[in-house]
Amino acid sequence: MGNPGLWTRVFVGILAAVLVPTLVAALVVTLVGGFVDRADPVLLALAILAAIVLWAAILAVVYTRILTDELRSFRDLAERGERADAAGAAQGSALQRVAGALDERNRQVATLADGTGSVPIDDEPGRVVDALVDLVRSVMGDPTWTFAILAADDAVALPPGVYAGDGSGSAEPLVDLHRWASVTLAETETPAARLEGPWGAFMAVDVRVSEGLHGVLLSPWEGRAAPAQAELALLTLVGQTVGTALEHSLLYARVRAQADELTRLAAVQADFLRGVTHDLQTPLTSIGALATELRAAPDLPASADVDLDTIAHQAERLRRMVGQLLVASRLEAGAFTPQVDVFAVPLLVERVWAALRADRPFSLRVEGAPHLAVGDPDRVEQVLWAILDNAVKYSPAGSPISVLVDASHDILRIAVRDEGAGMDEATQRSAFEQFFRSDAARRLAPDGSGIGLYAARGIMEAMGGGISISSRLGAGTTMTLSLPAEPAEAEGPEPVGGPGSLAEPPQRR
Amino acid sequence: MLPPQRPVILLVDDDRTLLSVLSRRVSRAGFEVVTALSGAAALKSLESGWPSLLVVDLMMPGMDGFELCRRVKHIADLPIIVLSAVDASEAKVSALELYAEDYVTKPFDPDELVARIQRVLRRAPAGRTQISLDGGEVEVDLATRRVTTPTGTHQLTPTEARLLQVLAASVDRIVPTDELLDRVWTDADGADPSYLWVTVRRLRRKLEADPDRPRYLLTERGIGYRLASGTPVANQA
Repeated sequence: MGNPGLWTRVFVGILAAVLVPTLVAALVVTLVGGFVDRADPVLLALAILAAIVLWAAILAVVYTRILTDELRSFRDLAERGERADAAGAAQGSALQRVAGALDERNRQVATLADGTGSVPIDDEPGRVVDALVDLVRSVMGDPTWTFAILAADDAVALPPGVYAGDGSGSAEPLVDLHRWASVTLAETETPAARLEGPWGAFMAVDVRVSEGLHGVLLSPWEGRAAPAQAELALLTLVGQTVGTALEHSLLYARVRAQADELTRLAAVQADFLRGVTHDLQTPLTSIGALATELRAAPDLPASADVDLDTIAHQAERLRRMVGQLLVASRLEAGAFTPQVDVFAVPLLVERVWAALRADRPFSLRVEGAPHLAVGDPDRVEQVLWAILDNAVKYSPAGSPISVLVDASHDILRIAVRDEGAGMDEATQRSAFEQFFRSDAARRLAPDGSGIGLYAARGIMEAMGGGISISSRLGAGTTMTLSLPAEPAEAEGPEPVGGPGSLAEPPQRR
Repeated sequence: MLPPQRPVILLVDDDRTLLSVLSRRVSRAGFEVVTALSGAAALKSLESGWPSLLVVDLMMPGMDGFELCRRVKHIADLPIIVLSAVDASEAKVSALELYAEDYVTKPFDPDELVARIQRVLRRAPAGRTQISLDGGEVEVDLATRRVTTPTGTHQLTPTEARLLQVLAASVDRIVPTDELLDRVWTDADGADPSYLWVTVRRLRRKLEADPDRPRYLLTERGIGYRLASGTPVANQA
C-alpha cells in the first residue's frame, strides 16, 4: 500500500466523500422530479443528505477495513523491529564481552611479557622458575599455579589442556606427569568428573626449556569448567614465555660456569707466572752484576772478558724478559701504574739500540719541533727494547732498521721500521694477544715468549699512548708507538725574571 | 754536597748473593756498606749507629720490608730506598711511598741503584716535608706528594716533588739550572735543560692559579729558578 502520497489520498477521499453523494443525489432528484414533474426542494435536500450519509457510511466501512489492515501491519512492523532491536542488543553485548575478554588477555600477556622481562636472570634456574611462577600466579589471579621441570628422554609433546589421572598411576611426584600424561591418560572431556588421578585434574602446558629438558606449567583444575580455546592459547603463550626465560637462565648459567672456570685458570696461570718471575728476579740481578764486576777486574784474559761480556749481555736480556713477564703479570692483576715523567725519546732509542748489540745498519731520524715524551721512561725503554729486538729477530741478517721520531700536537710518535718478512693481516690482528706467536715467528725465532707485544700494548695504553702495526707480507713491518708529549721549549718572555735566556737548544749532558 | 766522611748505606736483603754483589758495587761507588739478612738484624744494627740511607728488600721472610720501613721511620727519619718485587701490589707500593724516598723494581741494574742512592743523598739533607706558600694559600706535602691550592688538590710526580723539595730548601733564593738538573735527575736520566723547562711548566699547572703568570715558581732567565714563598712560611717536619 501507499505508492501515492498521504495528501493525495486525503484529497481524493474528500472529493469522493462529498462530490460522489452530491452528484448521485442530484441525479436521483432530477430523475424523480422528472417523474413527478416539479420536484419539491425539501425533498431534494433530504435526498441529497440521505445520499451523503449513505455514501459516508459506505466509505466509512471501506476505510475502516483498510485502516485496520494498515494498523495491523504497522503493529507487525513495530513488533518485528522490537524483536530485531532486542536481537541486535544481545549480539552487541556478546561482542562487548568478547572484546573485554580479549582486552583482559592482552593485559595478561603484556603483564607477563613485562614481568618476564624483569624476572632476574640467574644462574640458578630454580630461582627463575620461582620468580616466573610468582608472576604467573599474580597475573592469572590464581595462587595454585606451579611448575615442574623434567628430564625429557621419554617426553612427548603435551598439548595444552586439562589432564587428570585414571586412578591407576602410583603417587609419584609431579616430575613424572609427562610420562603419566602420555602413557596413562587421555585428555578428559569433563575433567570435573574424573578426579581420581594421583594428583587430581590439572591444567597443563608443555614448556620446551632446552635440548633435553621439558617443563610442565600446572594449575590445579579441580571442579572447573573446561577451558576455552582462547584460555588454552593464553596458557600456551605463558608456557612459551616461561620456557624462553628458563632457557636464557640455563644458557647464562652455562656461560657463567665457563667464565668462572676461565677466570680460575687465568688466576692459576697468573700465579704461576708471578711465582716464576719472582724466583728469577733476585738471581738475575746477581748474575748480571757479578759478570759486570768480574769484567772490571784487572789483568783479565781477553777470552774471559768476551765470555763475561756474553754472560752480562745474556743476563741483561733475561732481565728484560723477566721485566716483560712482570709487566704482563701486573697488567693481568690490573695493578700496573706507570710513573709520569718527562724524557727525551731519541736518547732512549740510542741507548736501547746499543744495548741490543745488533750488527745491523741503523738510522735514527728526528723530525718536527723538539718534544719531551710524558710517561714512564723505564717502561718506554722496555717497550722499545721489545720492538727493536723483534725488528732484528724477524728481518734478515744485514737488513737495515730505521727509527723515525716525530712530534706534533702534543703527540710523539716513534716508528720502528724493518725490512723483514712482514705479517699477514691475521697475524697483525692477533699480534698483541698474550702468548700469541705466528707460525712465521716460531720459525724465525723459536725462543720468543709471546709476551713482548702484549706487555708493550699494555704499557703504552697505561701511559695514554698506543701502539700500532703497519705491515705487508714480504714488505717489512713498521711498528709505531705514540705517547703524550710536551714541546721542549723554554718559556716566552715573562714579567718576572732576570737577564739572559734559557732558550738554548737542548743538549745532552 | 756529600758529607765529608763516607756515607753509610745499610743494605737489607735475605738473599746472600745479591747482598754481597750489591755491597761490593755500592762500596765501589764510595760508600761504606753495612748489610743485614733480615729486618730484625737491620733493626739491631741501627742500635750501633744510624746509616745515611737504607736499601730494603720488600720481600723478606719474617719481618717484611714494609714493616721494617715503618719501624725505622719510627726510630729516625732516615732515607730509604725499597727494592720492590713483582707481587708487591700497587696499593702497598703507594703506601710505601710514605716511608720510602725511592724504590727500584727487581730485577735491576746495580748501577741504577747506585745512581738512586746518590740522588737521594744529594737532596736537601733536612727532610722538609711540608711547604706552605703565601701564608697557606698553597700547601705542598712532599711525603704524600700532594699540592693543595684554592682550586683543588693535585698529585705530584716523584720528579716534580724532588724539584719542589730542592727549590724549597733554598726558598726565595735562585737555584741554578745545573744544580737543579744535578739534584733532581740521576746521571742515567740524561736530563738536559729542556727537562727542567717542561717539568716546571707541568708543575706550574698544578701550583699556580695562572701558569702563564706564575707567582711561586719563578724563572730567573739565564740563571735558574726560584721558589717565592709569598709570605715566607715553611714548616720544618
